[in-house]
Amino acid sequence: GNTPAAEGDNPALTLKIGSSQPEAQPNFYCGMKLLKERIEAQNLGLTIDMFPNSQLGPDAERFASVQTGDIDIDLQGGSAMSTAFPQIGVLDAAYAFNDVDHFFTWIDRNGKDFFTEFNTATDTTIVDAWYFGMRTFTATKPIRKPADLAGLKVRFPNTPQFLANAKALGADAVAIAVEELYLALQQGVAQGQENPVVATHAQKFDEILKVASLTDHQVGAHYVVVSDKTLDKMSRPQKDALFKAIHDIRAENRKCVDDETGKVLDGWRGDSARTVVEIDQVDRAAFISKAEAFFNTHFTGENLELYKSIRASA
Amino acid sequence: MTAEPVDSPDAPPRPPEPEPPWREPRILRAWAAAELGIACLAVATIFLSVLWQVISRYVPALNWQGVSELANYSLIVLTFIMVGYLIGNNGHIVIQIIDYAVKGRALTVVKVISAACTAVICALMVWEAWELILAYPDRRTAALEIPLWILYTLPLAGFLSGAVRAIVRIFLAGRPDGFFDAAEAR
Amino acid sequence: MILELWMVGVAIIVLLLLRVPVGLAFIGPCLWYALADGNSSGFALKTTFDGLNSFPLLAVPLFILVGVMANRLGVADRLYDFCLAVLGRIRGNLAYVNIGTAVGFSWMSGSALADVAGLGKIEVPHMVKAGYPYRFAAGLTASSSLISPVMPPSIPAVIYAATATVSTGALFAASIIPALLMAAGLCVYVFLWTARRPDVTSVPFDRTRLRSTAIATIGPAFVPVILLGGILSGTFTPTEAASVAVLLMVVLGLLYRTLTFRVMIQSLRETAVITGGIGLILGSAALLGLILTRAHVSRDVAELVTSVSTEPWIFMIMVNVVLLILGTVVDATAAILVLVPVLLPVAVGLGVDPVYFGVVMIMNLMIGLLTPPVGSVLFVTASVTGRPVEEVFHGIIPFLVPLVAVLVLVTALPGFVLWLPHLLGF
Ligand code: NA
Ligand code: NA
Repeated sequence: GNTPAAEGDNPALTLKIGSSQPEAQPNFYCGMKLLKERIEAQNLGLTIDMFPNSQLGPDAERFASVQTGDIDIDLQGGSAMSTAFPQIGVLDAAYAFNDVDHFFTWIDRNGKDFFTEFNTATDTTIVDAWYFGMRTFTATKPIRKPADLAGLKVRFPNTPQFLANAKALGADAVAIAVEELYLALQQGVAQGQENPVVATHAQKFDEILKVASLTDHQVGAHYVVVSDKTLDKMSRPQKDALFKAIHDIRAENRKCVDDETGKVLDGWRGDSARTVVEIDQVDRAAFISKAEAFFNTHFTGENLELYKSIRASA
Repeated sequence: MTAEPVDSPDAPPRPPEPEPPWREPRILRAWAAAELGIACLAVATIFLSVLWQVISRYVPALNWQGVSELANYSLIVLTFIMVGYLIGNNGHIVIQIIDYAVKGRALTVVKVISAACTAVICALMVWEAWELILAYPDRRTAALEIPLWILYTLPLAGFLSGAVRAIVRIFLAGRPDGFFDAAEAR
Repeated sequence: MILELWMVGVAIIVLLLLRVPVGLAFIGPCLWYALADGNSSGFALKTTFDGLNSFPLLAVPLFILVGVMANRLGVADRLYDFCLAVLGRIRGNLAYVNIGTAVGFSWMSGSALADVAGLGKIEVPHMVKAGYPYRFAAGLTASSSLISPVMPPSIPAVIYAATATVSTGALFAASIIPALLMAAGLCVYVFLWTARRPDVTSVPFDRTRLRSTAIATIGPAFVPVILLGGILSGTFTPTEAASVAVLLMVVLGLLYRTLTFRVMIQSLRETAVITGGIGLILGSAALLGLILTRAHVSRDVAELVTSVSTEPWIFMIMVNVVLLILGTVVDATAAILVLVPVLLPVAVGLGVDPVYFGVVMIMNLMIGLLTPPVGSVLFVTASVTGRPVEEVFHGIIPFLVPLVAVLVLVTALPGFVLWLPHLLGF
């Protein structure tokens, strides 16, 4: 909440920014925190109040609060926002994008129109996307081809798009609340999970799961989404500064994620108790064609059109 | 306490009871029976859904992604639908320290203020429920795709019931509180 | 309308003193504050609603149902008969039977009230008839019932684990030794007491009775075995274990032919009513918690605490003193929900293990159930035995000594708490 007090042209505003990521994650120290430093340094009357680590609630509920203006800015994955705008879930489809460059090229080319439609449906504005890392499997055994997933209970987040991804890849998905996941992995209720390398390491799932398979089956991205109720209170210079800072941070953040991912992976590679199935040891062509065949019948209407246009741009 | 709403039924030495405990009019009793019925159904749903989740892990054919959501929303339904019932039956967890300090007519005044505050808070929550119903016409739950506005009608009903029963309690403040025993709930 | 956070605190206390239900006393001032702070209308209800949307919390109604059914299906009575038969020859055996039954029942029940309400009706009159003073019998029954919410399954542990996002299984494992220490502490007190009271009679030992009652408790004995075994072997998660426990109760009820449609319905009703009361507190405390989080209260508390000392053991002493005092007046569920988001980050910052912190916090707040002015176990003991609250509390006072001694021991030696979870690999 804000009490707009006129201070020249720039009202004094405190913006609450939320995220699910803990402070040890690149999206905090190379994202949210950079944003705070840069915005506040400009003396535009803006203060950024940071709430990492799901302090303001789980993803879907935080996004609903962005819609009502109770949270000003949030870092959100696509699937949590897909209940308000289904097409954004399509961007989370497994192997919709071949790699992270494909993703950002698509965003830069089509993002403007796409995010305008999103804005009309949700009363929130996506300013840009920050990289979160490629989602890959960590499990009790290596996953090189779709058949390796058979009979392996893999935990996927409990949203329709993620569960569709499980089907598309041929995995036997188990739904387990994130609060119980560590224990469930430890006790063998699930034998694998999928997350970006940095997140897997931060949440200590790699303490239990010793085999990482770099399937890179989904571009993990966090959209920086701002409440329109907040934008309405801001002056033009404030908005420009905020948008510019978010765009500028994208590249730095990506480098940060890549560096941290490399660091974690090198640690795993150097550990004799672990196996890392490198990306060129994965039969990505088999995964991609399997996923494509699935989604071409799974999606319908506008979602299918969007999916096909993304694949066509690959 | 962690479990029972009979928080302090006999905390203060009770005064002799001059009047028999008041019985709610038939319409409120029927309303309460409906609320308790829905809540029991919710408990049964939680049990069966969570059990289903266990079983479906071993019988993949039974795998259904809506099951944990069904259980979660049942707990929400149960909590909100019982708000009015518990106010009407003196069954909410209440801290009765003041009963040691004030007696007789002063206690009646306290009970009037208490019931009035309860009614106001419930009424505010009815208003909030109505605002949420208007705010999210399209939002749906992730797995079962239940429109959220439908789910928000349950707190609306529960707090409305709570407001009505709190107003009734304003007029009953002079009578001794009936003893509420969860084991005998009906 | 400018509203400071401290005014919310004052308003909550005033409403609580006025006997407004705890959940609503949280909601009212928070709703007012949220609106004054410029949030959307609907903020308070949405946060309360979302606060209940948590899979681990589903264990709360399920473990309540287990405890309710264990009482109604006669499982508690079977445990009592068995303990009576086993402890036949010992002097003061009824007192040990009381503790033994509490330990047995604690493996099925997650709250103290199920224990007092069910067993108090049998045990206290039985002990009084055998020559024990009423105060001793009532005090012991009330005190031993605290083993239930500490021993797994434990409803406070489920709530703590969900709020602190620590593993429920680890908290369950960590609670076993403290719960057994509580039983041991009470036994020591009983031993010292009976040594000076040669007049209390013992029920004579009877071998055939031992065999028949042992057979009658085979079924209930499977409950903890299946629960812990299932959790440790990875067959199900602790939350899911709660539903399996209900299923076991249904099976036992069918075996003993005590499960009728009426018993089932009445068990569901009792569970619904109890869960409804706790649920409103769970949701409303999430609202209060979010408001405290948004105001960075935990950071301020951390600064305050670390300005006094950065030694973890000094912090733990402060926590114990504050919780014992708060426990006399505050509802335990509400205390866990409100204090965990504020105190846990401070504790973790000082290097205190969150699982150990949870066990200490739960033991503290459970002792508060015995003390006036607000103590539900105290009131229910008085209620089921039909004597004044004052008399029960007089009986409880001496038992506070062993209970607080065990609390001090557990606080001073985190190893007692953490040894088992580490051994089991949590
Ligand atoms: Na227990
Ligand atoms: Na107390």
